[in-house]
Amino acid sequence: MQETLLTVQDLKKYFPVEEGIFGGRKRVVHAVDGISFDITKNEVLSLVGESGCGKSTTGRLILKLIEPTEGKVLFMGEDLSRVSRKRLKELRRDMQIIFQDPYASLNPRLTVGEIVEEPLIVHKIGTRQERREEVFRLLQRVGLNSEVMRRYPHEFSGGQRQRIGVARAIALKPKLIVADEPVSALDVSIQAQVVNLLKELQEEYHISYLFIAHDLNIVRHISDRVAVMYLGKIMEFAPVEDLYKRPLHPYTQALLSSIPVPDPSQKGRKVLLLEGDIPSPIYIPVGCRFHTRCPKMIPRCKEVIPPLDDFGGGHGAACIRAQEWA
Amino acid sequence: MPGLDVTSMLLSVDKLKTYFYTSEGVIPAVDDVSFRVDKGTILGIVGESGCGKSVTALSIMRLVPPPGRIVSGEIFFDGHDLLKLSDDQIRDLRGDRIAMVFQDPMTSLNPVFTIGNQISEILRVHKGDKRSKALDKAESLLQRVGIPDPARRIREYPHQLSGGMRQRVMIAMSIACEPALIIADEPTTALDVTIQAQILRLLKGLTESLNMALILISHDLGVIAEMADTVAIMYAGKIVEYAPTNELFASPLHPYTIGLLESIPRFEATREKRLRAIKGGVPKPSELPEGCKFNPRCKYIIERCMKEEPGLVDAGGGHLVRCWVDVKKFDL
Repeated sequence: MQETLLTVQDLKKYFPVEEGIFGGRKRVVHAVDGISFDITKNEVLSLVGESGCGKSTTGRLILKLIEPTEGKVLFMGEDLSRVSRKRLKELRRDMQIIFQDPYASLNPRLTVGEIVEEPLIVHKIGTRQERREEVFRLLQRVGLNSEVMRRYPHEFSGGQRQRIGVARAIALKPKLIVADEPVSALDVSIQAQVVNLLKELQEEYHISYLFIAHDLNIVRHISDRVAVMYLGKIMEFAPVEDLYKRPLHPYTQALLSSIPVPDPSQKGRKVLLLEGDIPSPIYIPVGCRFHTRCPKMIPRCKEVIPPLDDFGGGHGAACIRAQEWA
Repeated sequence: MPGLDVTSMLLSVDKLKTYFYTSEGVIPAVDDVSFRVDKGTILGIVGESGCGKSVTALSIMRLVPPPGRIVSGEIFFDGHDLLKLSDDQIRDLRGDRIAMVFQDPMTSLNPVFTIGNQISEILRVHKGDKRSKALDKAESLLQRVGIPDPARRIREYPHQLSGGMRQRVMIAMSIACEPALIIADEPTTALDVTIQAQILRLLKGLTESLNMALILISHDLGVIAEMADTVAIMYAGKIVEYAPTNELFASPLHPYTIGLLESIPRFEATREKRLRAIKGGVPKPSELPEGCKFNPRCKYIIERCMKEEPGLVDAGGGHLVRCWVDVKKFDL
């Protein structure tokens, strides 16, 4: 049995919004609407889904960058909502984040050396000299040479900036990294370099990743398990190959078949095309929240909220019809 | 260009050079680019940021922003020499015979006018339609691009629509005058994958039903493989490979194309393997290398690549490639 690093229990995050010019009607965005999962040591769990599905909010809830409305996050057995400030700071050594936009996530006034050193200073690690040497090693490890230390972020390309962000994230040798769309802002030829780097570091330092992404090709390459989210809920959950070979939820099936294939001989392949748009997370459809777009909808889907049923081997799907094709 | 069949030709771009004259020097954004688009066909232009694909599109529309300037070359569209037309003449063509769809519909739609107003404006300007007739047409255009409840939507403003719906509105505007050519610059990049599939299907359907040609600019080889008849791969302002889609994907000849295809994680690949990344990064336009622009990143490099720039030559059957090395000799 693998050791559990992180447990998420029935996590919810609602954001209040005001509608109408005079703020008359109070509404609630159901960004994350009751999700549970865990991440074991050394594991890459991916959260996938389209914009507004709550995957980034989930990442921020886990790091306690925002407070949950309900539910719990347990990191190494400790409930983050109950630990003291001091303890939280200690725990944060072990949980880091890599952001999507390498242009916005690095302080433009600090040199690259200072950016990577900062977490070491905050957590009072080493002497000045030791930190310098460590920063040097880290930058080398992510494929940047030592002369970059005195330069500023704006002098670097997107791919190099993301490497700087990665160096900062691994500086404290964390146990968990939340990687929020770490390559989606990069050029295609650079994406593969950064994905390779993340994978190498994961194996070298035994880091677990919560990998938040929408590119399903990259997710398949890097993940051990995948959770598919839609409007704040997990629709399907499975070991990576099982999910791609045997998607059980119609939403997962549609997502996978919508990926354009770089092979013209597959031009005529059957695509499960979804109708319509993603509904607003303010007005979540009743019953199964996917029913408004589901090509396999039956009348009962408007009435029952499907539970995340277990289909064996750690494969779960929230669809009342999944039995029919499982 | 090979196989010149003038009757089917709609657009031909010949030795186009568009340079930007900045304080840091001259940037050859588009440098000696030639291609043609036949009536009713789809040309895919692929490349990464800064490769010149968008500037190529803007050059065809004669919308290159300063300090950029079309330096030389010819662009023929349906018998017109676009670079010799007056500003008034090109304005008449734009939106009428050639239309453009941009990546971000929110910045290309005017936030203070209704959807109906913006679509009907095109018809009033180009077709001289009266307001009510133009609005009726706008409504049927929205229907045509798959927007539900068009009678209500024409009275709405852009912010009231989702990203996918806005892109449908952009497409409705682009087809309003039934142009012969649409240039779509990363039309689905800002959209979610299930919405992307809808928009691509819509574009493909429209090119067929209206017999329109389409220049589809994308960084996504998957999108290109599904849509295009012919593909041009651009790197650092130049076309490095140009071939019919099936041919290009079946036997890519330029190391950059090969690298791009290899860097996409394939479903069949064993997961433990590293992705085959292209080393290094795209060079800054002000710091382009001598010889072949791709040589610092190329794994097939020979000495000649660092000194001489290869020309775009036909490797057989209209498959053009700009490379000194015959990559077919290597076991890929």
